[in-house]
Amino acid sequence: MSIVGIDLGTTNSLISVFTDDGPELIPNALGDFLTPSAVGLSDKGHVLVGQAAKDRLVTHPQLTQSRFKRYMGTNWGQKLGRKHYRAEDLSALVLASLKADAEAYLGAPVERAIISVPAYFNDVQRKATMAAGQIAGLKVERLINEPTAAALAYGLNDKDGESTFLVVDLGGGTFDVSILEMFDGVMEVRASAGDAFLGGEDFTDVVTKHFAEKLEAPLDKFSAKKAAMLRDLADQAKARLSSEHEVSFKFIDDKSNEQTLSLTRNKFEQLVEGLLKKLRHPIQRAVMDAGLRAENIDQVVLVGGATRMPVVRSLIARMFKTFPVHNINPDHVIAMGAAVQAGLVSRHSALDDIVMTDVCPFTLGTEVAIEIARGQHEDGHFQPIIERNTVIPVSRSVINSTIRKGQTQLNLRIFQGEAPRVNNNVFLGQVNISLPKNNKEHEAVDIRFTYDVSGVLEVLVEVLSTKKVSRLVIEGNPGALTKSEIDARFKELDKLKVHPRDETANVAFMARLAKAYENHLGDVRQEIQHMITVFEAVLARQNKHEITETREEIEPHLKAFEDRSIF
Amino acid sequence: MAAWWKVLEVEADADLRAVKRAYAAKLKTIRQDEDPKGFMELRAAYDAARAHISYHEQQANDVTNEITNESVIEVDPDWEVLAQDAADTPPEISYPTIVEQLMDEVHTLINSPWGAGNVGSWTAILDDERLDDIDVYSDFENALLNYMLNIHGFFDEDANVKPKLDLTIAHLVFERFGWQNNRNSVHFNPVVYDWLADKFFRQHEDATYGDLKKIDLRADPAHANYSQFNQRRLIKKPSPRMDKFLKWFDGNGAFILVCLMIALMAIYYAFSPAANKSWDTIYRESIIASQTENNAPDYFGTQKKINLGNSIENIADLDCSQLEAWAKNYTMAESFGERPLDVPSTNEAFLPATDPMEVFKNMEVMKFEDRPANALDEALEKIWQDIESGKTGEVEASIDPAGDTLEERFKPSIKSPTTNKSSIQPWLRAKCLAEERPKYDLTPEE
Ligand SMILES: Nc1ncnc2c1ncn2[C@@H]1O[C@H](COP(=O)(O)OP(=O)(O)OP(=O)(O)O)[C@@H](O)[C@H]1O
Ligand SMILES: [Mg+2]
Repeated sequence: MSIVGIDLGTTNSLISVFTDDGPELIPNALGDFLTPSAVGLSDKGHVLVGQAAKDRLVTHPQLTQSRFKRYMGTNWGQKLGRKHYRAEDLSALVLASLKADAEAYLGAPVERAIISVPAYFNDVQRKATMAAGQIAGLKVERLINEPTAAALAYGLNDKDGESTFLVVDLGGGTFDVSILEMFDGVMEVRASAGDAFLGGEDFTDVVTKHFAEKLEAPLDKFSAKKAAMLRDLADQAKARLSSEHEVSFKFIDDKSNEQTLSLTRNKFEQLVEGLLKKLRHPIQRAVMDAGLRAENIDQVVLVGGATRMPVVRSLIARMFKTFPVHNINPDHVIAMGAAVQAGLVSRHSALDDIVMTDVCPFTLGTEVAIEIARGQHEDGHFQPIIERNTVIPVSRSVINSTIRKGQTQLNLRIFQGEAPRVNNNVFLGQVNISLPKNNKEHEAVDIRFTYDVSGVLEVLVEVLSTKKVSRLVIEGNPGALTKSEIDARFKELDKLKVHPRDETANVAFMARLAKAYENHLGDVRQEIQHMITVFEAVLARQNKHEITETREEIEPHLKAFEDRSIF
Repeated sequence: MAAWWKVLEVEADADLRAVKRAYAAKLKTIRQDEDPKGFMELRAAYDAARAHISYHEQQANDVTNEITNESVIEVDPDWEVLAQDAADTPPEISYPTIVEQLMDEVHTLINSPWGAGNVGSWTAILDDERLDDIDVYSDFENALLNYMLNIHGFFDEDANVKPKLDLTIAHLVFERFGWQNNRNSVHFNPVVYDWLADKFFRQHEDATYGDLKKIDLRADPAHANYSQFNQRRLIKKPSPRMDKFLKWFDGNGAFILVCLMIALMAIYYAFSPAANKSWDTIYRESIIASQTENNAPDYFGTQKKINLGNSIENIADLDCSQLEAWAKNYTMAESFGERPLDVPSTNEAFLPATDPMEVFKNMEVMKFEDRPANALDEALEKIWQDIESGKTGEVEASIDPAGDTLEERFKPSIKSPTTNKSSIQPWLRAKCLAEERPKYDLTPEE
């Protein structure tokens, strides 16, 4: 039974498998490799995932959600219909849909998976991703960092080479930079850096805001539908500007007036200047952490849809004085790499002579108090235990002692980050340890941090005097789900009715028609209404052949209307 | 734990290549997930081997390099002797490096009456286009850090120098380089961070980056955290001899140190191969790479000729400064943009398959005599537009029409940036008209 690789993206997700011919992408029910990471409810209350849900963001904003990856590991939640969904739940629904696609394609049940996560995802976000997998009924064998996956896909092309390369991954919601060294079949990550909240979607937001300003209406004054529509158009405009110098589109405002909006590439570049500045830091830091200079880097590889933007490419070219490489489709490369990792984990014979090592991209440690004057302590200081860019798996320990003699409780708070004060770092969780009463001396504990190959942290604390060891399940982080919560959610989501897979194409087509209807006026709108009526009538007759034929007949006309609104 | 050469099963004097090969072979026999212990032992051996080898390599390196690479806080006892030598015989430097130029600007700014709080001027330096280059950026970051330490008397315990930057500027600098998030990195000694943060922020009772002096635990070695903190934050105090040396320089010490530092960096730069990859090389490469790229078949399987060719025709009869500006602003951006991005691409299509120089030499370029009459005006107009959008800098070109090789013929370089179009347009025009423009004939040389 094969292990699948999954790229669970902010905007798009993919599933793949490692075969004798190498990594292979699996198409979804619509025949696409990319499944939009959008989830919604159909009019009948069935769960919809993918393109149909993405289109329904515009027509049914209350019943649809997207971009939830940004909320992984937080308490964020959203009601769809009557139920409340967390980011883990929505991600689980996407995973379940991908799983169904893979099962249909492979003709066998799929139970084990490798899921890719941004390298800069913190421990809580990683655990949330694992939880999403479990809720979807998958055994998550391993998490793999996205830029590392990309490197695996690239590295496979040249396994005997010796080189150092830098991967820049700007996806929809996250930004990662990794530096890899390859020698003798070893792919070694030297350093990673990133920003878990920076991606192509932020560029879209900037453009949307710009258009709202042009319309002289603040975004929050728009109806939910119109706001979603404007964002959708802004997203298309942004993508067009990657190949054109100017783009215009028609937008029907809340008062049913048709407005024409346009944007030039120059103006766009001006708008996103602030975002571009944020890209610099992680790149610079990764290079410096790896102790490299530009001349030591043989190749700069671009991954992620947002690296298609010319501004991003020329920034990278200016920084490295070299042209970045993007031989493999930037949308596919991470899923391909995840498949390679799946092949490695299942010991596929084609990968015998390849190994990969990764690093922990951020510093992990605990809070300590330190003595500021004799007998006077101040808490809130960060004590690093595993320093950033240490090769994983890794295990490190420190010995700490109590502040006061006779202290019987120790509150251990665990943090991740690079700042000297804990309140500027990310809180991962905490635990209380009981100590024997000892009035004569300071009790001491050995704190051991173990970071496994998936980048998940385990903490062991040993009280030195009693030799009592506690294995800590880090709890108490409001964003993390407990084991029993995960189980409960699995059972609940299992009960949800998912829209039948063989009807996916029809639902998606209907959603597309409805969206086009929304975005047109007058005669065109009438005509689209007519298409909807015809298609509904055919659907009602339930003749598969006829339905497909009608769909194919209408499609070019619909496409022509869509193209007319953006030019 | 066993010695690294035993774990890796190599000779104790094995070279890096042998160590890597041994590590790779062993690694393939270990499952990282199932045997983390075994992996960690192997990894520790590999790290130890690499540290050992690089230590010996460094020993063998020449002294100048060693000093320049070393961070300033690791005060070497021999330092003062070397410093003395360097002061006696000023190194011969023919041109200032970019970092030097930038540091000059910093130095001038800080010593000007308004330098401590001038947000505009500081932002201008920090936003300088030349810092786009990752190497320049990291060298500048280091130089600036060391400079800050020096002018604030980091090496002189007794000197109580007031912060020479206002709070806003200190924030600006810290945030620009992300120093507040870099404290635990390998190239940034925490002592330095703590000291500097303390200098700038404690005075203002601003706890943004922590009142970090308190972390110093040396006062109480009995404390459980002592060894750990102490180990990581150990700083070598200047030796008495060093102290004397600094006193000797008296008030000018800081400035002289900076000069020395810059001089040493210049030496390093002059010998570093990275510094020799000049702007014109990269721009030329950029033209070539995009030319090859645009010869890739597009959607319809046809050869897509883009306006790059036209650009070259127009450029050919102008001077190099325009070639550079064009190359920078258009070729790079346009070649990316013009290509249909979804073209399923083959590896070869996007890598310069042949030697870039060959491609360049073979490009057919219109001769000067045949140029369209208004090409100069058009080019000026374009450059003007660029200046308007703040894109280009003042360009200086040295041109040698008689040069044998391409490198000799083109030698453009960017001078300090100017955003003033009214000043640059007459300058450019005068330059283009007055100069005897070379007639580029780039047909292959026999
Ligand atoms: N031609 C284009 N020009 C500009 N942006 C584009 C283009 N094509 C796609 N994008 C942007 O790329 C982003 C999606 O990229 P990708 O599919 O790699 O992200 P993801 O994997 O879903 O997200 P992440 O990896 O951050 O979780 C979107 O923001 C999209 O707008
Ligand atoms: Mg992605």
